Amino acid sequence: CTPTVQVAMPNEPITINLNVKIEHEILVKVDREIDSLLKENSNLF
Amino acid sequence: LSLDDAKSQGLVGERSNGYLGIVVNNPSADVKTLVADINSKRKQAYQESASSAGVELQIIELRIGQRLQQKTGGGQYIQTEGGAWQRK
Amino acid sequence: ALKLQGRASTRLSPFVSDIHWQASPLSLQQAERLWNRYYPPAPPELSVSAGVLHHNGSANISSRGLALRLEQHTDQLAARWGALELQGLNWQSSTELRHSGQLLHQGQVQVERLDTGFPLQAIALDYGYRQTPAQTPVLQLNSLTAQLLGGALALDSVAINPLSPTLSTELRLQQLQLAKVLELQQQEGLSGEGLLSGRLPLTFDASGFQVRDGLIASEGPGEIRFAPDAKVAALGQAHQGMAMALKALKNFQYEALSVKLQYDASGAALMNTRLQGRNPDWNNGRPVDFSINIEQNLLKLMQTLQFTDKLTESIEKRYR
Repeated sequence: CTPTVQVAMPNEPITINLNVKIEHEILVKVDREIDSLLKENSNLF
Repeated sequence: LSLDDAKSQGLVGERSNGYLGIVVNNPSADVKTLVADINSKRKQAYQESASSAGVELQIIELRIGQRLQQKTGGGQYIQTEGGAWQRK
Repeated sequence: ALKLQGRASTRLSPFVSDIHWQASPLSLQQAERLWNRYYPPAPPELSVSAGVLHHNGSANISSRGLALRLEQHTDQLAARWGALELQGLNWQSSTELRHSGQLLHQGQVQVERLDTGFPLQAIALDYGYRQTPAQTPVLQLNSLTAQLLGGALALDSVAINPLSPTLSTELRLQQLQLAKVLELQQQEGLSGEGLLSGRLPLTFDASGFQVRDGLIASEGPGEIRFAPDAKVAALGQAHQGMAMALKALKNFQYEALSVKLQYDASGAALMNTRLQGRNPDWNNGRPVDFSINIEQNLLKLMQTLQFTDKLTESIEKRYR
């Protein structure tokens, strides 16, 4: 018998590659601000 | 009366919200004016930092409060979350 | 102050003296002040707010030398050390110094809650310390277990040379809840359901803790939902792969999730994540195979958690 070729739904998985870098900028930004604040107004602390 | 003297004499201490607090129960007039003056200048400085860091004022207040309390030297006072004054 | 009751009996020839003593319960509140009178001084950020120490001991002095036996138990200790807060610590230990000079100490510690940014609960440690003259001392961690993130952790028993403390053991994670793990990220719109377990080869040396090729994998299927805020969505437009990822992750039902973890003492963590599954509402449920490399500094994450912990705490207090 003749082989039947089934055109399956394109079901092989889509591959997605991602590189994610999580920075904790809120803390870094706030601490940098506080560093300069403490330096410029040292008389208040 | 300088801030350093007031702190070393245990008259004032750092609260957890970034501002000064009065430790003694019957503070003299110059202690009260010192604390009021310093706190209003601190608030203004915090507002400027908050806007340039793009965060709410309260985040600067809380984070600087945390750091000021950690930096407080031995023998000086800090206010605990419960509101009690504790000597380091 | 410490009050001791005791009794002693001494015989002169041959010389033998036996002393027994019992300390009255000692409140440990602000014990850091008591500690500060001794050297090395207490760490500056340590403040003890509760706890009671019970102690009794006995000594035997004879021609063979000194033998000591010390028992102690500390109850309901509560303390804060910088950003670290612990409550309900109970510690029982017994120490024995033998005439031969051998020192044997063993103890158990239970902690109800330790907060380092996220809570660890029901911590239980069993340990022993042995020092025999002319031999290297041995600190033995027999068992360490704790509950965290909806699951539990356990450390394999390990022996440590306290003089040059290096350690290599395995940290096992059992049935952590993905929902709670994702909450740690404090990423708006990110949630999930599922169970994670893992084995992390853990080493410790002068520079600190490291994990090499830690493996964390899902137990059974689960789901991840990510409804990004405007900032992340905008990111999606710029990067085609990201756009597709965001569509898939809107309602991602996964069959398998596995993470290979590298962590070094600086806090830098690299997580090679494999995520296999599909979004039934997208691309008519065509299967997706993600491989995501996530870089993050976990120490900075902890610091941010401690700091925002305080923020939410204080806001809650104000509006409660």
